Amino acid sequence: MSIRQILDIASTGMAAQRLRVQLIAANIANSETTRTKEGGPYRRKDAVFASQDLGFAGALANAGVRVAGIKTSQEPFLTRYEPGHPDADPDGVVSYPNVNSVEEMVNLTEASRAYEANIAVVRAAKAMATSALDILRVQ
Amino acid sequence: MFDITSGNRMIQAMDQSLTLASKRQAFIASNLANLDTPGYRTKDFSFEGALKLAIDGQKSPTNLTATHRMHLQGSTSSSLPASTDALKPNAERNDGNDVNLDRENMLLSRTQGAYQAASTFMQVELRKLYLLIREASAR
Repeated sequence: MSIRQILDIASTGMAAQRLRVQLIAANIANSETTRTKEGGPYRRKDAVFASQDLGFAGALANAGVRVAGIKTSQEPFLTRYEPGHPDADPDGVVSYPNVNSVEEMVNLTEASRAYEANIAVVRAAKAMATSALDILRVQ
Repeated sequence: MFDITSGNRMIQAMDQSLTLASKRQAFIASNLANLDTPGYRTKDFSFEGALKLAIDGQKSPTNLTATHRMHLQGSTSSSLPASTDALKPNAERNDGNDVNLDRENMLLSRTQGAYQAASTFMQVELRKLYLLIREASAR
């Protein structure tokens, strides 16, 4: 049934965008983190999306979306001269994470708009299912 | 035995309309889920074209019979694009994705409206049959 397909597709979209928001939250929370388990400052993370086959026939074969991987940014760290900082190098320069908070905010807005778009799809599918059930109400 | 519902052209046409509207909604759900998938191309089909094709397989109820010179013929102008090719390549982004959020949102509510209109028409038709049966059995 198509309504179920619609809900399946929208739910993959919501899951993918939610994970993206989680990564943005991690980036913003760690925007000043200079120590990580891997050593060195925190590196910015971003989700890579790919279309997903949900087993639907025909043109809807690759209708869903999935997170193909989480990319760790290899951009250079931001540096600041802070000789008093415990993680400063011998020259007094501290490497801070390569997180640009403006960029994160823009991505956050984009992800939440995309999430809302999927919610709108779910709402539409629900209204359609209700109106289909109303056909039975002939009295 | 004469089948009272599948012999009804209005109900048949609305049946096709409901099926196609929910199919199209699945395509829109797929486009919105893949809003940020690199390389994804908008998927769509022409609702009017597909409906015409589906109904022409049966006896067409869309050809209105004019019994008076002032009678109007239904409009045949197509307001929806047959495919999304018209949008290319202007709408394509740097990542090769050409999903247009505004277009998909508009189509989402439009398709929902088409679905609800079809289900209401079908309900009205079935209600007529129900009243007919009730009146006949009351005598």
